Amino acid sequence: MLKSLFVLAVSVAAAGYAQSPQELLQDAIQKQRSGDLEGAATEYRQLLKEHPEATPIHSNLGAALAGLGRFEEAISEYKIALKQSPGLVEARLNLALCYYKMGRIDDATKELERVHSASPENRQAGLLLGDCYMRLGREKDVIEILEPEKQKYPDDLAIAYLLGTALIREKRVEEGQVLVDRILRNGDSAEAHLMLGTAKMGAQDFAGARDEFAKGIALNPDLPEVHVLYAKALMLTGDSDLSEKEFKAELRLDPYNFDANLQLGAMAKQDQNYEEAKKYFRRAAETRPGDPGVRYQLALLAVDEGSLEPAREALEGLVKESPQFLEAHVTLALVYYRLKRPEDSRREREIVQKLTAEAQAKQPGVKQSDNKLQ
Amino acid sequence: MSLYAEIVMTRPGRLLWGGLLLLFMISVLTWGQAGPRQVNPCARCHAEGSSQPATNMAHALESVETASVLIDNPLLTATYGRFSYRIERQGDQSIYSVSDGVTTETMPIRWAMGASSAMGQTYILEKNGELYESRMSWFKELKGIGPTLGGSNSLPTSLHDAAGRLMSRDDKLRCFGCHATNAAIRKELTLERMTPGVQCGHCHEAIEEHLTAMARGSGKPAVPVALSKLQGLSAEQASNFCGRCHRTWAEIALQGNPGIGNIRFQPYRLTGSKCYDPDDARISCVACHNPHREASEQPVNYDAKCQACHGGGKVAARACPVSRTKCVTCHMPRIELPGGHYKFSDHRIRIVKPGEPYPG
Repeated sequence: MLKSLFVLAVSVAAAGYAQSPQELLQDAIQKQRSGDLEGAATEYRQLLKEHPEATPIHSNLGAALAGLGRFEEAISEYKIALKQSPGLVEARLNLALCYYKMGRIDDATKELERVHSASPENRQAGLLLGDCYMRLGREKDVIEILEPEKQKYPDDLAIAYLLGTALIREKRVEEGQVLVDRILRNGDSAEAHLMLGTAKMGAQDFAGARDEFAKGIALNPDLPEVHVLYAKALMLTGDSDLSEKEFKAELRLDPYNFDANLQLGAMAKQDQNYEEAKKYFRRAAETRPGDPGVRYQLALLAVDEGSLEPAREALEGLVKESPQFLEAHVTLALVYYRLKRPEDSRREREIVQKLTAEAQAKQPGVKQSDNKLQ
Repeated sequence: MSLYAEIVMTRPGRLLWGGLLLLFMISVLTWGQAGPRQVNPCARCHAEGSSQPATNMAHALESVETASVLIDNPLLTATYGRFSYRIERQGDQSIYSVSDGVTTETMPIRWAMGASSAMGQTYILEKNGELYESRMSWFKELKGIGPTLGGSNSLPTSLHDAAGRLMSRDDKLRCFGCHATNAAIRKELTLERMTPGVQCGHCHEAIEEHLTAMARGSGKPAVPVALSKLQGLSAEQASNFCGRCHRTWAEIALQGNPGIGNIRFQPYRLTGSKCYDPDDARISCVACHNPHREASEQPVNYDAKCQACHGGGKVAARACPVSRTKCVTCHMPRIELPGGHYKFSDHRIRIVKPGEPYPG
């Protein structure tokens, strides 16, 4: 961020702005630095009205908007900046970060690949790209991208964690184990507990995972995502009260964390605190516009508030897009009942039964229809 | 805020209320703790208040001191896998123990979930400040103890696991929230204030204000909104209301388990009936079951409910060509729940065909 601001200041000065735009620009930069992102964004937009060709201002505006969680708008600005200046690595990395935060991992990966190719020395881009590959299940690519990084930064625990996990998943257990052991040997680190906790979650040992995450938080409460993971483990072990507090702790670090906003919204809705729920869902929707999970929660909220027609419309859209979305079918069946459309409701209920039976049949060891009536 | 809380907080101003109010409050507080012989304060004006305390729901939670199964069976034993179990009465307490032949784990029983007069009960154990759901439950049909429903799918692997399952905070909220009254205020567990069993205040949420107003003798029975709302529930609203504990269709459907285990969840099953109409009160839970009385086990007692529609009262409801009596024996067959040692009436009302798969 600071680097981009500096670049902007230099380029604007070089462009020979009159006093007034210059002051406006300095003021915007100052506002951005002091955290007044809304004020900064307004002034950048003012400047762009007269100077739409000023690439760094688009980039800075993108950063301010991303800081406000308005990722869609930020992406537009970064795209303009990159169209004007395709080699602007920093803007591309920021664009990738926006996609990453929105959960658009495919898009983030494409941008990061370009950043990594243009600046292979960029450690953050390499690590983020490795993480994206991991999320996409592309372990071979994780290994390819991070093995050279490991040589350059042998003490980086994040690289060791990602690479170690990828190697183990690729059945190169011994090599992976070396890296995992390195993390564990590195003393009682938060990263080690995070890693162990994640592994235990995968093995459905939720109580074990919960304890690992708690230890990780005690060592480093600022570790990204650790509060969300802890909160999820707490939910799965039946402590929704503490879970709520942990989701809130994550939001103090990252106000636009998607999972935390979604879960807190669902909790607030359950408590019939609808305004609070809307606030969280809106923020989750800003992070990932169109996300089916958020749209479903908003539809549930509409049902709870008695807005049945908007809920029906939203749910019909969801099941059309995702015919396997069991929860949406269940709620749609209820909505049809309340709208006095029993035949539609019955149809949805039959779909629910069919989906459930299909899901059960896929489970290993399940016998079909073994409950015969006498 | 509950009446009990106000007394515990000992605000002098509150304790200076008239003698009538104080007596009235004391009777509210003690009723339910000591069993049905106490006078339910609601019964002074409402006949339902006299019959409800005798129902199984009113005894859905029993303290170890009052659980008649434990009193009448001073020693209960069973073996399960390599573990042997004993529940032994000692004074007014019962001690639950499990042994693998080498080591014995002992825990006192605090509560029995389920009425002594009902199909069975599971015990809530306490150790080191934590509560556990017992691995062994008492079943009326067995006249003894056997594996708790849900815990019978796998043999215990350790002595601790064999004793019971640690109850999480959410487990406690759910279990005590349904089996007791005032066990939770919003999301806060208030076991120290709860009254065991489903008492009037469990469903009639604003009962305390009403009782207080009545005790003041204002002459005008201030019926709180929440108290009167229950009278006008539609079939669907009743299903959702009762389903808060007996489970709604949506809750079970979302769990995605259409197996025979859902036979226990009557609102869920009822919603699957062809005759279920969310707006028709004739098919609501309370059309057949008066929550203030024990449910009848006599099939003939439900005939009038079926005939309300199938006797010509509803155009779409055809008359049964076979019989007009004991409808439920054919259309709501009793089905054995594996491991439950009890046959539940299937509330998915339908024309049952022999040999058909269980309709989930």
